[in-house]
Amino acid sequence: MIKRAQSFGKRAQLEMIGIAIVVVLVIIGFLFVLKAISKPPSSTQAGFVRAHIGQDVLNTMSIADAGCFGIDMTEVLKACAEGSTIDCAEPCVYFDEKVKEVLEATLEEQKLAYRFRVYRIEDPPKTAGEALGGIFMEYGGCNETSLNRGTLIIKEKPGMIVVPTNAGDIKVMLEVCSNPY
Amino acid sequence: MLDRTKTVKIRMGSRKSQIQMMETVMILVVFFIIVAIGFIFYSKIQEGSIRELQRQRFEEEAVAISQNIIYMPELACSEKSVIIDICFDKYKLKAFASIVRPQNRNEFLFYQKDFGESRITVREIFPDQKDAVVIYDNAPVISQETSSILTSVPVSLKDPAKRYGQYSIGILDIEVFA
Repeated sequence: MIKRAQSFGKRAQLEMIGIAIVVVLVIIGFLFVLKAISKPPSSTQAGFVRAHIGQDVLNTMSIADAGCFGIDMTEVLKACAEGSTIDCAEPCVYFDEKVKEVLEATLEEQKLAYRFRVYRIEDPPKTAGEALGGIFMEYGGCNETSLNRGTLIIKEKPGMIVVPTNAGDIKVMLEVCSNPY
Repeated sequence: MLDRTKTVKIRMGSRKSQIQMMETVMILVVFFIIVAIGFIFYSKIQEGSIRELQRQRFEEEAVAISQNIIYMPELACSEKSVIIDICFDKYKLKAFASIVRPQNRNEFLFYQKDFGESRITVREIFPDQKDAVVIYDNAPVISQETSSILTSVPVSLKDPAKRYGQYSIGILDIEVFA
């Protein structure tokens, strides 16, 4: 009787070990599946576009015709910084308007969040409103608040050009923001 | 009496072994079901990773094509013999579009090596918006299985015939099909 009870207990122990092994295997399998599913797909093409578009937009914009009697966008910006005039409109307002047009047709069309700033190098702005002539633009919530909170980040090197003027060097920066996840 | 007890014992023994057999069969059935589910999961994951690999290669191809076309001397613009970065000459673009057509077999095949199954267009966006110019079109017949990836790159467009305001901004759209 005792022998029978002992062998029954041993069998129960073995079955318990079997169940434990099965549970461990199922958990390992589940983790493996979870890992494979949760891995976000990396996009080579999107990464390439993000890495270059900021600088490309600034390069093309700097030499582009401003649509104002043959002057280019750099000349409009120079006039804005130096406080001189152009034939079409107030230069800072005109520059602001034209930059908006370009950014809408390039970055916004591709749903890319960005932050565009123009300021004097020796006098960098502390807040958005302090930018040169109020020239500060953002899209997709890419601003100081979201960057400080970490809801958006700047992964790529920002696009940047420097325009020398009689009123000091002007820095034009275009940063493309992306989701941290 | 003894014979009867023996017969009952034998019957009970065979019943017990039948139950044990059934148990073994059930365990095997459950085991094979688990193995089959695992195999299905594994094949799904493998399928996903193969698709991911294909997509990556496809995207790399799109990037390679965009890099190829941006630095092509056939289209690049220059200022006093110095090539300007990401800039196309409008007249070169027109000439290229009129020559590289499926009707001109040799020219088309020459560029097919570089551009594969893709459609490349350039549209002017600033200061004036103009219609897109198709400079290469080798799009396959669109079916449900055809997928494409679009890469848009801002480019400068130069009109060398103008004395002032020669440059405008354009978008180079490269749509690669798989």
